[in-house]
Amino acid sequence: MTPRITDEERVLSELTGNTLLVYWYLLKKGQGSSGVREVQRALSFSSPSSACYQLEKLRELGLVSKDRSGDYQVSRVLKAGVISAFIFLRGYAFPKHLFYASATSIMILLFLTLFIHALSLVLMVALSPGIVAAIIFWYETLKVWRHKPSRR
Amino acid sequence: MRTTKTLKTCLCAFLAAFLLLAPSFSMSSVNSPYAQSDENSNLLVPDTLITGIVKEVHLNYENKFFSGTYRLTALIIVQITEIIERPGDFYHGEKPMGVGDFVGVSYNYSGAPECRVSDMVEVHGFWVAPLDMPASRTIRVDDYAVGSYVKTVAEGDESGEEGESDSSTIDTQSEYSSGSISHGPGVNLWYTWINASGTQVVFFTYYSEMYNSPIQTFLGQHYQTVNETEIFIGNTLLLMEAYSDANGNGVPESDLRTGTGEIKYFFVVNSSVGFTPTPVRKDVIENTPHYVWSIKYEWVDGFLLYPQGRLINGVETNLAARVNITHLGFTYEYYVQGNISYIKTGFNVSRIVDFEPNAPDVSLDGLGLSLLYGAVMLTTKPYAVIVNGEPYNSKVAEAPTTSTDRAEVIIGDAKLYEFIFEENYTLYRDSNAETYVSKSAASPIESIPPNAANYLSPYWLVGSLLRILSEDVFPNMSASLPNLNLEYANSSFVYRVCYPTWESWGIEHDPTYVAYLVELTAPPIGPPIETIAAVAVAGLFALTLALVDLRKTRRILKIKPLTMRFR
Repeated sequence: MTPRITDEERVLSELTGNTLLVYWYLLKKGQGSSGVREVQRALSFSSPSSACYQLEKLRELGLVSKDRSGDYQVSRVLKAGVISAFIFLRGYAFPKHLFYASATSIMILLFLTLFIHALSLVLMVALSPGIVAAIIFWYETLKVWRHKPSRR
Repeated sequence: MRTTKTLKTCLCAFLAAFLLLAPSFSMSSVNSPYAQSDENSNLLVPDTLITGIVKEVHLNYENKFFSGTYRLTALIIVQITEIIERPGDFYHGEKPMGVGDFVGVSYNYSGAPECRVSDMVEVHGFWVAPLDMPASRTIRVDDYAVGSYVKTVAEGDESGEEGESDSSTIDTQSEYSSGSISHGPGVNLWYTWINASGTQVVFFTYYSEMYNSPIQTFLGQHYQTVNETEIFIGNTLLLMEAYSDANGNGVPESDLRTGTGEIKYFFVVNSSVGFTPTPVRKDVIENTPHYVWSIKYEWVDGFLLYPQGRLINGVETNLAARVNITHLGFTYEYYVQGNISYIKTGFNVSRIVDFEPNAPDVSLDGLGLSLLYGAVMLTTKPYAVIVNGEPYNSKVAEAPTTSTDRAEVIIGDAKLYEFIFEENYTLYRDSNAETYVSKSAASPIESIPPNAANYLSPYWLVGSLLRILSEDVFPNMSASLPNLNLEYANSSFVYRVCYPTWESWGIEHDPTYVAYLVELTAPPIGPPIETIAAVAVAGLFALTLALVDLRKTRRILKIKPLTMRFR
């Protein structure tokens, strides 16, 4: 018996290569819309028709919409796959783990700065879970960053 | 009855010492040639030059004050290895002295001899050989034997030699301890050591199981204070004085220009039949540790000496009277509150008994008692002593005495140490206790009559112990501590604690020393337990989140990007 494929899975399976790159570009752009030529220049496509093809494909998948002026913008954000591991903010994509890693590291450094003169075994034991968590978060941040969609 | 017992004890000690020591070196008796008197002031020409190995170095405090003019410091026993120059009577008994024989060297300087047991030394001095006292033959080395010396030629191996003065030392790692350290044949140091709250307190006193114990105490404190300044302050009782308070200010003045003054007698305590130390103990009072210890000298013999010699029965002497006191006690209590440490000292002297005047007019009626103390200070930055708001230096002070109720030691504007004197004292007249106000005064060195130096404590013995301690306890001061001069003449602060009403009765008094410590000496303050717990919980939460996310991310990244197909 073939497992039932959900709509989201079907969309994800179609979202590969240049199509994914265009969608990634539009996600970073946020609420703003982009024209065909803008996408072609930003992603260095050889011709506007290539960009138009990808944008139309995304529109058929229901991920972007087209306004009256012919520009495209994201209409649906997929919360699956590597996309779910990123946060898009003001034109940039950040791994979610970056925030966890930063918060944990700041907490540890602040504590050490304040109580460095009274450092003891008890304090180090209390700090050790946070230190391990920070190391894991930074490792995951790096790993996710390396899996970010990009032109190869 | 008691006097007879004391005399018997003294006699036994004397005989025992003689039998033990006579075969190898001369005995310290009153007729001993190394018990040199000031009257014997003719200059001598050294006639003996030998080399040898030091076998013993020890004090001759027996009969130290017998006539009030003797001044002994050390007797060095040397085993001869070579005789370079000798006088005709260089004999021991009927036999000429030769290589391998032991010879006593009477060392009569105010400073410590540099040689130690097992050192190879060269001795150049004057051979003293009274025909009737073969046991007293010694090589005399002092200012009267011009050009005499004891010079260390080669340092010996200190390990495994008997009679070493520093064969044991203080465990400076311990929080507090009391114990004994051998300090030569028959002489021991009893000590109390406290290492708490970033300060170190050390107390020494001499005692002997072979002889009557000498009366000599030293109390020192070391700590760090503001601006990382390291400080060592020591106090010792130099001398007691009986004075007539003619001007009614409560403290003694001495006019050395005219040879007169209010000091009538030096009250010199010589030795005690019994010595009872009470080791330090720790009492916790209201969460504050108090370290308490004490010593008690029992049945102490002493002398009343005139400040200037006088003719009595045709003989010039300083001796005014021989006296005994039944006890002399010192108690100490040390504790730290906040960043201030306190040493409360207790002084307890019995009434004078067995008063044997040497002249008909000797009397203590109407006289007060003054305790002359010397303070030695060593700091890593320049300090000043403040008395009545003004800088005071005993070495340069011109005023004979400056009455005060306290004195401070400062560096810059920071107060490091305080002497608090003026409190009530108790006088025991028969069985009645009477309370009086004590007086105190900062005193210049020149207010101490020059010949008083003959009776003052030989500080250098304590100095040698401080040098031992310096390696462990005073790391920042260890370079300068060996040069610490503990002679009273070098003290920048000499002071007197005075009891205007005395008349030979018993006295109890508790002056206090206060040291101001730096707050850094307190243990570092760590975060409260709640903060530590919160950090631990937050860390555990973050770790759980990280582990959960780790699984989630792995699942995401194991899928071919955005295809939901596993790699």
